Amino acid sequence: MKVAGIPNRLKAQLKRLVHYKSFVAGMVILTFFVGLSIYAMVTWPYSEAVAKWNNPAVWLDYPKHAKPSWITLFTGVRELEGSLIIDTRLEAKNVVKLRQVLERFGKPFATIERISIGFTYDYDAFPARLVYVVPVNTTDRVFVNMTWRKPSGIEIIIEKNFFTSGELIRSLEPKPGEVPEFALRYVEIVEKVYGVRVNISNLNPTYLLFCDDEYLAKTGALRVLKGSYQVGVETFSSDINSTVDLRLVIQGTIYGLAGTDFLGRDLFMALAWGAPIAMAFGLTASLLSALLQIAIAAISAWFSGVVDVVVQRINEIFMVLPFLPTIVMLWMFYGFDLWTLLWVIILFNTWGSGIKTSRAMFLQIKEMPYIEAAKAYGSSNFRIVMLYMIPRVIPVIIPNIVTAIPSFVFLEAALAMLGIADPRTITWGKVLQEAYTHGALLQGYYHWILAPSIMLFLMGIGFAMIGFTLDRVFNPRLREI
Amino acid sequence: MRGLRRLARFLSIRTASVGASLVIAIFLVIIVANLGGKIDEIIEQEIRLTVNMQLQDPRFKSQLGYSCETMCKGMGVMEEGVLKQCVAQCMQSWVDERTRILMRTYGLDQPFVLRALYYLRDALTLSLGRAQRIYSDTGSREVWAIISERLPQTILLFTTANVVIFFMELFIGLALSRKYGSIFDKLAVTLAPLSSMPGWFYGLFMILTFAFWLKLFPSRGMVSAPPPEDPWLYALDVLWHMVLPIISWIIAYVPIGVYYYRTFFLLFSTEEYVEYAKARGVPSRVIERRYILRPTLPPIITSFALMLIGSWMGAIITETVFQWPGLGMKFYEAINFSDAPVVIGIIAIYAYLLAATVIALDLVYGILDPRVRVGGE
Repeated sequence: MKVAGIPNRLKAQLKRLVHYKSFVAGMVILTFFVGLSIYAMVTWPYSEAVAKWNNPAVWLDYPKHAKPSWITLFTGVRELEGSLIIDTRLEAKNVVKLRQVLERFGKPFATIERISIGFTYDYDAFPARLVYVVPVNTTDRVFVNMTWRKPSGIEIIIEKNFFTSGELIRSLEPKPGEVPEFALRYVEIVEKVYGVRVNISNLNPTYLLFCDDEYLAKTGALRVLKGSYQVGVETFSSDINSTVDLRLVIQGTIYGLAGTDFLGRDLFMALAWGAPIAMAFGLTASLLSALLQIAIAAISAWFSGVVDVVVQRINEIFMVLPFLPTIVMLWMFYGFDLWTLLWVIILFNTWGSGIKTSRAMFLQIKEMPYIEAAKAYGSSNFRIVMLYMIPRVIPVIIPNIVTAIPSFVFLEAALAMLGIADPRTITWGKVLQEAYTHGALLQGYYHWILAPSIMLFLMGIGFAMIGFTLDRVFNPRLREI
Repeated sequence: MRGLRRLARFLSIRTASVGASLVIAIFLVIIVANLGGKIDEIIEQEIRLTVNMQLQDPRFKSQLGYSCETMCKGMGVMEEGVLKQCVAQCMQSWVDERTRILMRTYGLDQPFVLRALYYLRDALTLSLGRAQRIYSDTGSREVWAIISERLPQTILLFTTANVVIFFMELFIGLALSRKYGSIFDKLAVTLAPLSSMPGWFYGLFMILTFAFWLKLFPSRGMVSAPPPEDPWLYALDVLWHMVLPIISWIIAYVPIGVYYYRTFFLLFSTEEYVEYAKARGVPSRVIERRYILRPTLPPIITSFALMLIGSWMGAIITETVFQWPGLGMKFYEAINFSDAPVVIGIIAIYAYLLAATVIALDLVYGILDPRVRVGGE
């Protein structure tokens, strides 16, 4: 009779939960995070994800600081998503390659190579930056002459140089107080054609290659010139076997669902992988510290005497120890990964004021008649503590455990903000810390700071809503009013 | 009189017990820190640095070289190469000897437990030694100077924030408990989950909206640069810089507090003696003051004190986010430069503050709780 009664009551209570909007909303958020976790684990297995995330070489061609791509739905501006990569080693479409060996007195002495590639750019926004690489399979000196032909017909010489290292790499990005050589040539050309000398200081050099010259000359402002572009490379080398290629990376301004960070890493990957890590971390910390807490408090209250005194003294020591600075000190001296940090947090969180409250609760329970009865029929201490006292407080602690989950996630984030983080794992807190220390707020890369913040916010709200509703249903203190 | 004596006895027992816990806690910190030999390492580094600094002085070096040469010659070494070797050996042995002497002065040759006791004495008397890498704003390297110049700013900001939060919680909670089931009450219940996020987190949003977007408040610091000269304007300027951190703390901590106090007061207002007072026709203000607030005072004060200590520690990240020049930001700096003496010093200071709060709480309980005062069971 009684055995059947408990599940029925539980069922009734669970049924009542569904009537609370906040519970349903919390469950929806929780389901979203579970779905995201499954997606992350299926798409990138953990070790693969960690290796990929921590290897900057993987992300070289990705646009840096790109906004999420759905943002164009609101702005209506067509922007380049990801990077436009043209590599003459990989594709032949729109690529013309000419190779000529020069001879003198019947002997070959030098090679001239010409590569020409074309692409269409018809976006409303400028690309963030242009990177070009000219790989040559020789260690000899190579002379390179590179031209950039705009749809307007204007041709700029962007490279006129010798190089010897076997590879020429240029990344056109704004550097304060530095104007690249081709920009000066460009100003001259514009002056020759339109008779206006334009001011190009503090401009992103990439913009100059994609801007509407006529518009620039007339208004002094920048606008994208849509159409087909031609890039030509001409190399001259004394090595007759040398071959030349061209790799052009035009990095866009938007990428994926969450954008990218300062290394071009796809933030969505971090957001997705942050979910299972945050949930595992929060749930383990919350559950274990709550269980340890009530176990210790129950033992202390039940046995009283020496046990109680010892527990209370230990507890007082932990209450005097400052939580955060002590963890910081441990990390500084020993250094630990995320999961060791978890154990340290559990240790510090088990002790403290929580045990005091639970102990007071158990002192009351200890005096209850049913415990008296259990003692009378001779149950063992273990049986009384584990089967009669602890289950009694379960309804009180379950809501607390749920509500405390996000607080551990935020604790991890807070420690990450202080720079105390496992350098290899991917957590929302670490993304937030990187965004913060790399000046995302100051430089206006809001997506970078908002993406992990929104995840943390949702997780906080979701678990809190579930926890609060559970508390109202399991511990109806106010029902009688 | 008897009550007072009882209170004094109770307090002295508690002080002794908390004091013992404090000593053990700091001792544990020292043992843990020194298990990896970290403190010894720090001191040894400092000694080697001092000895090397002495050798850096060219006059001292030539003097030492000269006396070494004389000694070597006195021993009968004349050949050029051998003499050079002998002088070098002699100088090295001087360095070793000097280091050994200094190590002994610092007690590094003594056994582990004894050394730990020395460090314990230093930590407890707050003679915290010198920082390894960071300086105070006045250029001092004393850990104590570094900490003491930053503590007032932290206390200013977070005590203000806590007092504001505390009274908001209390009065809104009390007002809502009067209007159980009204729209405002439901709103308070709905908003309570907002408190699952910490203050520094809202700080990021606050900076984003009010500092960078609307440009209403400064995003960082305590005073504008250059600071206003007039003291009133200076105070206003500081207040202006305090607005955003305080608002973010209000959003983070008031909702749960209001929810908590509302439920708490509601529970108390259903007690039988309150019902009886109502039936007698006692005005509701008087009921609130005498029958609800009075008996609930001890737990309320406890939660205020716990909040206050919590805030000094939670302050570390909030200060970093707002670049508030308090102890928390210095702590952040110490972590980044991995300056162990400063970190241990801050732990010691916080441990003292925590112990003082625990004792102060006991005092408040002793005064307010009649069971302690008149000695119930």
